[in-house]
Amino acid sequence: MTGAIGLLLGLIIVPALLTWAGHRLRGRSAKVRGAFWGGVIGYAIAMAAFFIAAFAPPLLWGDDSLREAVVYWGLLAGSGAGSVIGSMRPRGAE
Amino acid sequence: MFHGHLWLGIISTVLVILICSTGILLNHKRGLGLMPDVPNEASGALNAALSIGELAARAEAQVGPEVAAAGIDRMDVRPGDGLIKVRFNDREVTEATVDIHSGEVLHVGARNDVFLEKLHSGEIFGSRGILLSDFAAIVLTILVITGIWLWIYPRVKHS
Repeated sequence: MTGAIGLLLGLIIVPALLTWAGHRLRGRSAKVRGAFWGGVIGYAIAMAAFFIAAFAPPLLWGDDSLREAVVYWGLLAGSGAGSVIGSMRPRGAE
Repeated sequence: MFHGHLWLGIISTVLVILICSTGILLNHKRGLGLMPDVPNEASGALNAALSIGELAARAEAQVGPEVAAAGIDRMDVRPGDGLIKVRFNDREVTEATVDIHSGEVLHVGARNDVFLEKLHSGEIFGSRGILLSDFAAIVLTILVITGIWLWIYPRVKHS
């Protein structure tokens, strides 16, 4: 159940937050811009990991496995980690 | 309208890619070797075939005790090909293909396409997982309608 919540957050809420954060991006602080681009890059990397974990090999994944964790939590964790790293490396001078 | 189209498009991206890619893989499941393709010819009439219980026992003996203990999910009889596919309930969805007349086990392997079907429908994420698939289908329909509208509206307005 918690895995499904993580997946829903990663599939729906994270892209919605990134879309919201992307509005009028130029007017936002360098830290927010860094967090936004970090989140986008992190999400893209997590998306690739999600598809590899979901398909390879095409067999049902087991409980408590790394594969299951990547599928359920990867999108959320990838974008979160990217945002944190991005916020520490602000984009452009204020 | 534009922002609705944009937001829905971005939010549903992963889901739509997942459903599309599993759909393509399922369309080519034989060619990709995701399901066994066992050629066989019927060597007799259907009423001369071994009993269902006997065929199930032959399949269970071949797949081993661990898989057999998971139980049989379904048995798919193909009278024209003279075979029966015995699918087990194990995690890898093992399937034994048995000749219905001789009882010979022709093939044992994993039915990977079952996994892909569950991923495609969303069932793999639990009984409510199909709602994800429904959501993606509804979003795609809305995206098509709003996309056409966004394309047509400026042309109608300026004509």
